[in-house]
Parts: sequence; C-alpha cells; structure tokens
Amino acid sequence: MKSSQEKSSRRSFLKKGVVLAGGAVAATLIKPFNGVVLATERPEGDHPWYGIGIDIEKCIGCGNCASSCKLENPVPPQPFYFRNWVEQYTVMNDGSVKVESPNGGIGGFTQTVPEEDIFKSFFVPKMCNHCVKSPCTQVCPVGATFETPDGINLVDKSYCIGCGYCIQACPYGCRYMHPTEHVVDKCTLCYHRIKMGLLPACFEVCPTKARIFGNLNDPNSDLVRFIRDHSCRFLKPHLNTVPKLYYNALEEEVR
Amino acid sequence: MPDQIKRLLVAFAIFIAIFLLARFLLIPASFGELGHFRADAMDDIAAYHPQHAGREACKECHDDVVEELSYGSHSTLACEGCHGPALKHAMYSASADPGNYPDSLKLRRPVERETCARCHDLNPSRVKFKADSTDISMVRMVNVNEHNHFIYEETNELIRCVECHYSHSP
Repeated sequence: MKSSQEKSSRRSFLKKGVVLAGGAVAATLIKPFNGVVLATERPEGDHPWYGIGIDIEKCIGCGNCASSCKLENPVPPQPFYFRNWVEQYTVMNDGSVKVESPNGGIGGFTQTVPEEDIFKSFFVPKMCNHCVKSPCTQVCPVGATFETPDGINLVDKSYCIGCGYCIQACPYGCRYMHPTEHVVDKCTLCYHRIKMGLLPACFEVCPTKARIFGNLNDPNSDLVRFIRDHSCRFLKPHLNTVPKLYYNALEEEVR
Repeated sequence: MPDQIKRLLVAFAIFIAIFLLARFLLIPASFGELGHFRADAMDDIAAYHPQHAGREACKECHDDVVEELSYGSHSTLACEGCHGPALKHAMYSASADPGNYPDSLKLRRPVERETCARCHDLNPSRVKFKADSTDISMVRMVNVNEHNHFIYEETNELIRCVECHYSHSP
C-alpha cells in the first residue's frame, strides 16, 4: 500500500516537472529572451551620454592614468585603493595566465617572466565600466549610489551608510571602502572635470591616447568613431551589465 | 459611532501625522527628483576642485616649451603626465607675482631614469612597439639598466637619460 503511494507521488512529481519545464520552453518561444546586451538603448533626451573607449593595442603600461587619478581625486595613497589601475597580462607558452598589477601600475611595470616562456603579453587598463544595468546601483539599500542622466554611476557620500553591498555586487571590482570616511568610493569619471568641460584626468595624461572619452549620443564623437572603426568588446558580457567601457583588442584571457 | 472606533481613529491620525513628519524630516530635499537618489549629490560631486590644468593652461606661460613638445615624437604627451598636476601652479601664476613662487607650488622636474623607464624600458608587453622601428608613432625601448653605463663621478650613479636626450623633443 505504502509503496504504491510512493510510486504514484513520484509519477505525479515527474509529471509536474515535465509540464513545468515544457511550459518554460514554450514561454520562451512565445516571448524570447530579449535582454539588452549592447549599450544601444539610450535614455530619452538630447543630453550627452558618456562612455569610454580603451585601445589595448596602444596601452604601453606607463601607469600615468592610475597615478593621475590618485593626484586628481581624494583616493587614499595605499597600494590597494584604486579608482583605476592597469594590469599586465602574461600568457605563458603552457597556456597559464599571470596577472600583475604592482601598485596598480603606478611607477610602471617590469616583466618578470623570461621572454622565452611568454606566448603573449599585454596591458589592460581597468576602471569603472559605468554600466547601463549596473548591479552596484541596484543593490544599494538606501539609494546612495545612482546613475546620473548622462550615464555616470556616482556615490552620494553623505548618504552612503557603508554597508558594502555594492562592493560585492560590482563584477569588475571597481569599488572600495574608504578607510577613513567609511563610505564607498569609486570612479566618478572625474564628474567635476566633465562639468567644467575638461577631460577626465586619466584621459588627459594618457601619452598614447589609448583612452577615448566621448558622448555615445553624438554619432560624430571620437568615441562613437572609435567603436565603429574597431571591433570592440566588453568585460564579462554574459552578466548583462551593459558596460559603457569599450575595449579594442580585448583578449579572451582578460577577466 | 462607538467610542472605541473614535479613539482608534484618533490614534491612527496621530500615528500618520508622526509618520509624515518623520518622513519629511528624514528624506533629504532633492531625494526622488530624478530617481531613487539625492539629485543634489550630483552638484556636490561636481563642486570638487580639479587638480590637472591641461596643456592649454601650460601654454599661457610656457608657450615655447609647449611649441617644442608639439613637433617631436613626444607630441601626444600631456605636460602633467611627467610634471604632476598643475592647476594650483597655473592659478598662482595667473594671480600673483610669478617670479616669487612658493616651493610647494613648484612642479617636479623628473630627471631620474625611472621616469623614462615607465614608457621606454624594454618590456615584452610593449613589444608591439618595436624597439628598432623608425615609425615615430611607436614607442622605442631600451634596456634602461644596461643602456649607457657612464656614471657620475661624485655620486657613483648612472647618468641620467636627459644628459643625452632632450625630453621635450627627443
């Protein structure tokens, strides 16, 4: 008696499972997944919508961007607080990848791997991606971090309670807890400079012009031209964060 | 209307009044104007003072150096990339006696090998810019620790790059 009950409940469980799975597949056929993966869905209005382009082929790893950021903004001097930094990727002949970023690249890099072991090697500058669907702003419990109408993700330091959820939520590691203010700090894309009509500091000092700053809403801007002329990619596109930081020559190894 | 209901209504009215007052006092002025955040925060962040002035500001006084820089292979370099942020420096010279500079506002004049090495030291990560290339858009590289072993007799240090190479127009 008992075993037949078990049998029938297993049968009904399997039935329900098949119905649910089939229903889910049918639902996707009716309304397929149409999440925005490219930052093409622009907000309404004719105001600028800022984005960033980084040409990895041009980056020489001088670290000017990382040091100018610390000089321009109140970023703590310790070598583990950065709003932007440069990483040196070294792919060995055996396929393993070594990533180095001594002091975020401030002061330059030296290649410690002997040249005969290197398959390829390159620099990747990193900073806040100013995502359209930014996970960091979604998780803030108090509304202290937000996206401005011109597409820059900022932190309201007077309103932040320092819970650190956004630091965990950012898949790019672009936020840190300020050691003395006890609030979250991140790249503002030099909001104070943009508002004055100046370039952000890291764009200003880049010697090879590997960084391109521009307005995605203007089809004639340097950035839109850069995106059009190069096969640009994002970091971690599978997360559907829709970054506005476009990399040219981004290698598969970069995380 | 029964008495109990009247008393309950009064209690509810008081609770709602306290809630509205607390809400009014706790929510900052511009919260919710543009979204679930304080819109004034944008102005607070925009009010921060910049430090980098940009090449145009340097040109105001050092037009000869900027002119020199704009022709050579260092033409794409920002002055402040090597000399450090210069807005305070520029604003002081615009306002007061430029001959009487406070030391704190003087910019650094980096002459150590390390400064040049940041871009020009031999590094396979930079190898896309060939060391022996004649294309001036590429960064030339030397082994900074082996290149030119002359030393200063007084200090026994390797001589500086700038003894032979003029950094504004190399």
